[in-house]
Amino acid sequence: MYIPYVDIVPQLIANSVIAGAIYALIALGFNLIYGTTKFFNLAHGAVAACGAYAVFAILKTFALPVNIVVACAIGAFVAGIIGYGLERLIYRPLRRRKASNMVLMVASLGAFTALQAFIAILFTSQFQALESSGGISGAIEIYGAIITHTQVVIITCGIAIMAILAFIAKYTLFGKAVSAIKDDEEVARMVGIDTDRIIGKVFFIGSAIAGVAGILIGFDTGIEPTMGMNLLLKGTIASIIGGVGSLYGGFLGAFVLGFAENFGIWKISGEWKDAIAFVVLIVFLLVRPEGIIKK
Amino acid sequence: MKDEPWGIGTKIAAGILTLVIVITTIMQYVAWRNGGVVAPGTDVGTIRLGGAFGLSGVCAEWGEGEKKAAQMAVDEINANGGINGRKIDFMVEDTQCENKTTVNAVQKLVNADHVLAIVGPTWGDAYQGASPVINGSMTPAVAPDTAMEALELEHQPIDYIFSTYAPQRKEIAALQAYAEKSGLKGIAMVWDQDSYSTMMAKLFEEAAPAHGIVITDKHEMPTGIQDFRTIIAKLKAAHAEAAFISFLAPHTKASFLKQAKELGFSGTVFSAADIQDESVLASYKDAMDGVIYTYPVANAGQKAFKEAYRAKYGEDPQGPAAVNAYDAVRIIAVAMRTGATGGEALRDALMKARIKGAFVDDLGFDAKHQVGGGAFELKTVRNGTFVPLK
Amino acid sequence: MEYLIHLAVMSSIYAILGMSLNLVVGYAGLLSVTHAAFYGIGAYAVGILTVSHGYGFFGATAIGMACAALAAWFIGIVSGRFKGDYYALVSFGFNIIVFSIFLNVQSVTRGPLGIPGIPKPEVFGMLIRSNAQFLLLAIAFTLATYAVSQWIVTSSFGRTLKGIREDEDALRVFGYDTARYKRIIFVIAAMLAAVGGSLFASYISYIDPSTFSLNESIFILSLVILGGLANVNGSVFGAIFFILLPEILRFVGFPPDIAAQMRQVAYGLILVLLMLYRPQGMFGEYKL
Repeated sequence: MYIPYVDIVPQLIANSVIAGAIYALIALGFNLIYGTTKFFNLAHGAVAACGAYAVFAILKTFALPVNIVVACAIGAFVAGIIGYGLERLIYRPLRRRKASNMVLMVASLGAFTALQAFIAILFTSQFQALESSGGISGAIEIYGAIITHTQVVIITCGIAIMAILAFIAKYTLFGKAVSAIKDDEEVARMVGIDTDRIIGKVFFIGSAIAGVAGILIGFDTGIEPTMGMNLLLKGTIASIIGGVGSLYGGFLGAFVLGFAENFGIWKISGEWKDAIAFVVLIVFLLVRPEGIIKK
Repeated sequence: MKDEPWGIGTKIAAGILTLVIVITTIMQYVAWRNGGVVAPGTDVGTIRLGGAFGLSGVCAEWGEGEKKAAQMAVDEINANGGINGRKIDFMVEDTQCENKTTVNAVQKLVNADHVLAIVGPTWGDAYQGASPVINGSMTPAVAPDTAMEALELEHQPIDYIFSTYAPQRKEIAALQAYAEKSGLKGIAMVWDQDSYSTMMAKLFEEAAPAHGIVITDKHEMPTGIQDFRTIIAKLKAAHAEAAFISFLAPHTKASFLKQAKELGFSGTVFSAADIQDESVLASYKDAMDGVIYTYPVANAGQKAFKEAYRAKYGEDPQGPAAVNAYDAVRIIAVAMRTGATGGEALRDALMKARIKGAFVDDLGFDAKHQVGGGAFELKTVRNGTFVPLK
Repeated sequence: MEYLIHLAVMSSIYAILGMSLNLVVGYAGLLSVTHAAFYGIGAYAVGILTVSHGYGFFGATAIGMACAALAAWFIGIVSGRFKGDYYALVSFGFNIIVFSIFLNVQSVTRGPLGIPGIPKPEVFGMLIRSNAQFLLLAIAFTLATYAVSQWIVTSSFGRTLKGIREDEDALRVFGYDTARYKRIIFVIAAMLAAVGGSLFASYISYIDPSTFSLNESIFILSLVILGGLANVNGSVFGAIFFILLPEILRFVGFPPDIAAQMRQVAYGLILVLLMLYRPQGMFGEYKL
């Protein structure tokens, strides 16, 4: 008997990184929004699906002659607009009324349900692929681990978006305003920050990132109207493990979750995959409720 | 405490009263609509046929196509003069792919709409709660996709329940005979926690020793998972010769096949009839290339159905069981033409009915209320089409 | 008429679930999204014990309540450390964990295949056969749950709970063990939910894990919020409304292709509109 680990561990690491990058894309936008508004925006998952379906509409339904990258940019923009719309129509009036974060969460749950159903009405419940290649993407091999080109893009996007957000947070006026709102919205308003406008922008950016996540997953596996639920749960868990509201935290948490799940499947067994994620969450909440990165 | 029980009580009373009025109105309306229903056997009015499909929820992918195909059959029959001069009134309910709501849908069809027969209810775990309602009301129900074997395994009565879907034992036997012939000794299994998939896995494992097949590995996954890379890595590391996959949705199979190809898994992948989903193939033709599965021997009906569906809806038949829903309506119509429009008489007529089906050529029910006629052949995907193997 | 009876039975079951969840959400102010887990424990107890161990309905129900209480006690210890939306999230997690147990501990629950052939209850030696008879039993249980809930919320225990909900720190200063109060009400609610589950199992006669998923918890929570937080009557209203909603929507006349999805849209919009214009629900006395 030879050592089986050599065969499998590089691939497991690759799989964990891929899963982690996907969760990170969701967690980044989710965390950005949570940071400024302090509520769990459950509609985030459905917004991701909206982005993916926007690209589907461009490339497949209307078969517009546009470049894939342009289509993806439009898709992310559409997701951003939907997120911004939710903020204007639902969340902002609620915040004005000093609604608790539980009220906001329940409202976002309603938005989630309705958005998901709208997608099914427009595009049917059928599972669809975004890519047109017939299913197999090219791949690269690193130490025996195989990663497809789409997945390379996913990982790159995850890191790039993280870096861009970190840059914005640190070096721009907008970033400073966001962090002021994070600390205390009232104080931020008093020092003359137009908090509504900033939060609106945050929703746009966070939702556009979710859209990117949805689109990339669409290219990697495919899209269906209900794809948002699983993304949302994993993204939420990732942000909490990492430290909710913290940029780096969400990113880190996503990879911790990716590794926990994939190594869990390897050593425990596949059927507990969903439970593993939540056990990790609850253990973290008990042992280190503020997440890996303390605010 | 400063509760104001009376104020609230009045509001509640008003609310409940309104509700009662609404319910009564609904019931009156239903009763009024049912005024047109005639006793079975008389020759006027329309024939009420129920449809119970999963139009939302996890099996909506299957249900939408089934509903469209069933509607197509109803339209064809009505255009050709209906059943002995009576038009079919097709009433559809959504089962939401769930136990509770399936019972709801069937209750509505049977007890409020008084349908004479039902196409559906669909979905393995969803229809079992409805089966006592169907049998109790003696309303024959012909399901386009169910795990019929589950009723049998559980010793539940099948009295009024029929299935036009592929009989799973037959499928598996054909598949394993092929595996044996091609010298495969060990097969790994991967399935998700849906009742249909679980039952397929169970039947596959049970039948394996008879064909000299050893189940080398078993991987069970939660439903809805799209990421099989770690499972595939495990299969690769174990040098699995072949894998049998069974999932809730055809597209999940496509995802598995895609990832297996990308990760360079070289074993054979086996599947069952439900992988033959035209709309999934359209997106995943390369990924699905080479998968081996069983399907009824190709016949003219399969092709004609596909073309008629495309002509009517401008798209490929959606989901694997659209064709089975189409056949279900047609065999009910044939049984009804004998004059049996409901209850025991219709059940007996269904047992005797035979049609030239779109799924199998000679379609009729055997003692287990499953599709009896027709042989299964092995098929695969080559160059983006479903073709017989070799 | 048969169909109306069916809807009434379903409404009773959901009224039991709604009233019990309201004790936790409305009176204790804990946004629990794990009620389907206890509902499922009750259903599984009846399914398993009556089908393969020869128990009667009432014996199995009692054991189911005990199991639910035990599970709730444990979950309460862990989730009691959280508040607000974090509490909701942790309860989310427990629902998924219990759901995974229903699916994966197959030697006990039979996993995805579910348990068919669950017998109808026997009351005073008389087997319940028709749905109408079952409705009487369901109504009896609903009334009992109603009485228990009303008794709890009007007792000094209930008043203390409301106090904790409004200002936990103040009550702690007065020497109340607030965590214990919250855990007790959580356990009581779980036991009542188990009753709902046992009724469901014997009425439908078949159970499988998918009925007790996270979505079901969200559905029960929605009906509680619609009916009104901290109002037992409101939950009865919410249950009836949500069971009848699909019937009402039939008359809006959506094309059949989209009717199923439009119902989901309606659920979503109801939640959004409630939060915007009436966050305490129709008859509620407490805002989230």
